[in-house]
Order: sequence, then structure tokens, then C-alpha cells
Amino acid sequence: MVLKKFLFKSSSAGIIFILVFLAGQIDDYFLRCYAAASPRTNNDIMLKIFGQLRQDVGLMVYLKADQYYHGGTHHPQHKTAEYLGKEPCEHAPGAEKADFETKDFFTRLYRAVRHQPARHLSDEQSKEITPWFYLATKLDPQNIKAYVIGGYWLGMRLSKPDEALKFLRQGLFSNPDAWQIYEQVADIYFLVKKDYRKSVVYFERAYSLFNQSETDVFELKHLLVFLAASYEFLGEYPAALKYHEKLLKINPDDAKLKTKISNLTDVIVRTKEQP
Amino acid sequence: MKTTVLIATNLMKEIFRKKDIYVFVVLLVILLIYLINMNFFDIGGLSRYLKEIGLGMVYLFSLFITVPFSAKLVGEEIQNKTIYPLLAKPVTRFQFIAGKFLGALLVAGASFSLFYFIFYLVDISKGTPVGFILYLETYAFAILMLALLSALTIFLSIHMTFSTTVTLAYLIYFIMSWFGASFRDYFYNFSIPGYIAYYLLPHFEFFDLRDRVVHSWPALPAWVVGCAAAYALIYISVLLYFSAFAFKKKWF
Repeated sequence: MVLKKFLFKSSSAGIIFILVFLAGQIDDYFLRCYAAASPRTNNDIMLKIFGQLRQDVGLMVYLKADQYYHGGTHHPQHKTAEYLGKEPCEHAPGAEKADFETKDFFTRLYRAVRHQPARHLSDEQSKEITPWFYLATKLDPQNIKAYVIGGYWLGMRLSKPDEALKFLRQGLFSNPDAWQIYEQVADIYFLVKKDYRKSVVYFERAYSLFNQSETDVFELKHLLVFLAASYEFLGEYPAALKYHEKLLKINPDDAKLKTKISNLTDVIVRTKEQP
Repeated sequence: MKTTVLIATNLMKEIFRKKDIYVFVVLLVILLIYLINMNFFDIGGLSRYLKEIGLGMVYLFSLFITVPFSAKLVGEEIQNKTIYPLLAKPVTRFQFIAGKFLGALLVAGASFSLFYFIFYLVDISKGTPVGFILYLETYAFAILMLALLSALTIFLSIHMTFSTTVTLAYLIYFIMSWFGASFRDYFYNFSIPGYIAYYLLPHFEFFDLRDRVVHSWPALPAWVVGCAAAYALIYISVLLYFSAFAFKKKWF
């Protein structure tokens, strides 16, 4: 009887113990999910109860794409910022080796079983990440980042611009105010399809939506540079000049930009002088 | 030993009498066929998503069979009062527990083998299989994991009701599989009690080789296989010993 009481008490205590520590782990995990993609919030209570689970699963699926791109290895959480800084190049081999050096036997065993040094997939293999963008957006059509990054991979890296545009249009259907999706569509028209007339339309839409909601200077620069370039390619120099001048307000000391503006002004004056 | 094997083989027949396994096989086949025929952006030659979801389902369906089956083994005997004629025979309580565990392991192993074989056929038919040694290692590790889970479930079922046992077994399995590795850092602040908890909890995460199969990582070195197997065997032996001990002290 004593043993029975003890076991009952210890198992109850065990459950409470596990739940207390689990709460922190779950919280931590979903914090990472939300950091990776921040969907819009909705105040509908039913959506909060059921829809939130769908969104959470969608975000986990979205993170799979990143895991796949790194050959199946997750970024160690405490090194995310450091690793992101190295993103354009391959991961430094020494960094992972240092991670394996631990005296704890269980940790060593776990790492031997479940870890591999992170490596980016080759261009041929990187197509393997695309199903996760598809599934992430099916689970959560408000996951704007999944549309944008999926569109980027399809259009820019896997040479499937038509599929990318189709995918991004589905994103616009669910998120009509998402300037990021308009920008990605415009990028594909500008960089891949070289259709500057269409790229201007989408960049303009992205710019108008961006102005209403965002303050990200880096993204603003991207939009202004591509808008100006699109108008320049179309021969609409006054519009190009307008956006270059807006860029100069952000970067007042940019000498190259000043030269560009001066050249454009000359071109406009010459065009006006011609009969 | 003969008594133990007799109890185990009787249990083995039960899984084929019940329809659970057939339902899961049909579900798995339908799911795999659906996944093979999915078209993602008109891109051909995709295989990793199929391995990821297919293998995930193989593991999940095996869990769904193993945990409830192991949880009811002892409890059902007590509830139906069939334990009395059984214990009246020359069967020690340890033999009884060992026989139940062996039966649960046979059932879990048979179901997993069937599911895994279906997955293997689909994977090789897709033309992107990994090395045969890795397939074997994944299979062996999954069997070890199911054995550990069966032993844990039987241990819990001696102290708790069926539903509590099943819930707690799933809870421990999923917590340890997902977060087990990070517990060490988490328990670091709790010094000795934290470390004791970390080392006492069953580390199911050692036995999950799905990422290796999905991402075509190399096969595990022999020392890792040996250490993981030793860990599982020691843990199972301790659980069975304590189960038999608790069962011996139990009043019906």
C-alpha cells in the first residue's frame, strides 16, 4: 500500500513536472515559428481556437523548407543570427565540429544519431524544398512569407516563372493587401521575364501598399530602385527621375545616385528640346 | 522460457484477429498512392517529401498499435479476472510480465515490419533509395524504440488505469522525441535534481533515424549502434524488473 501511494504520488508529481517544463519548451518552439513567419492576427474566437492550430502546423511545415535547404539540419537556435550572417556562403565546417565537442555522453550519442553538418542543397536538389511551401500555404493561406519565398525559389532559382506567378497569384487571392507578394511578382516580371510594363504595375501596387503600413528602409530602397529601373527601361524618364529623387532623400550622400539623376535630367531636357 | 514464449505467441494471434492492423495498412497504402501522385508546381523527381510523410506515418501507425495494445495487456487480465487461473498455473509473475512484454514486442514488431516493408517498396519504386545498411539501421532502431515504449507502457499500466497509461505513454514519447535533447540545457539550472530527471527519462530521440533516410545521410557508425542498443536493452531490463516487482506486490 505504501509503495502504491508512493508510486501514485510520484507519477502525479511526474506529470506536473513534465507539463511545467513542457510549457516552456512549447512556448520557445512556437516563438521561433512566429519569428520565422508572422501571419496576420484575427480576432475571431473560433479561428483562435481551431485556426491557430492550423496556422501553427502551417508554420512548422514552412520551417521544414529551411531544414531541407540545410540538408536536413536545423539551425541551432542560439546561433541563428550568427549563421544568418553567413547565409550567402557555405556554413563554416569548424563551427559544427565545435558543437560536437561535449563531455555529456547522452548529448554525444544524440548528436551522432541526429546531427549532420549543415550544407546547402545543390541547385538540382533544392527543388525538394518546394512541396513544403505548397503544403504550408494550403494549411495557412495567410502565410505571406511562404508565398514570397516559394515564389522566389520557383521563379528565380528553379526557372519556373509561370508556376511561380500562378503560386503568387493564389497568395494575392488570399492576401490582397500583401505588398511583399506584389513585390515578388514584380521581381519575376522584371528579372526573369523582362516584362517591364507588368513589373511597373506590380511594383507600383507594392509601393502604394508599402507606404500605408511599413517603415523598413531596406525594402523601400528595393522597391524604389526597381521602380526607377523599370520606368527607365520603358523610356519613361520623368517617372524614373521621380523615384530616383525619392531614393536620394533616403541616401542623400550617394554620389552615384546624384550622377544618375543629373544624367536623367539631361535626357529629359534633351527629349523636350527635340521637335 | 517456454511459458514466456507461450504467453507471447497467444498475444501475437490477437493482433491478426483484430482489425486495427488491416485498417492502418489500407490507410498507409492510400496515403502513399496519394502522395506519389501529388504534383508540386510541375516539378518532377521529388522524393524527400514522400519519404518524410510516408515514414512519419509508418512510425505513427506503429505507435497507435503498440501503446494501446501494451497498455491493456495487464489491466485487461485483471479486469476480466483471467489473471486468477493464469497465476494458479506454474507461472511466476516475472514470467508473466516477460511474456506480456515479448507478446507486445512481437505485435509492435510485426506491425512495424509490415508498414516499413510497404514504405520500402514504394521508396525503391520511386528510384531514390538510400543505402541498404541505413534501411536496416532505421528498422532496427525503430524496433528498439517500440520495445522501449512497450516496456514503459507495461510499467505504467501496472500502476494506472488504461486511459491514464495510454495518455502518459504518448505524452512521454512525444515530449522526449521532440524536446528530449534540449532538456539537458533546460535542466542545467536545476543542478542535481535536473540532471537526475534528464538521465532517468527514456530518450526516445536516440532511435529516430528518419532524417537520415529522408536526407540520405550516411549510415551510423558501429559504436553509435552499439551504444543505442545497449541503452535500450538496459532501460527495458530495468523497467521489466520494476514492473515484475510492482506486480508481485500488487493485490487483486
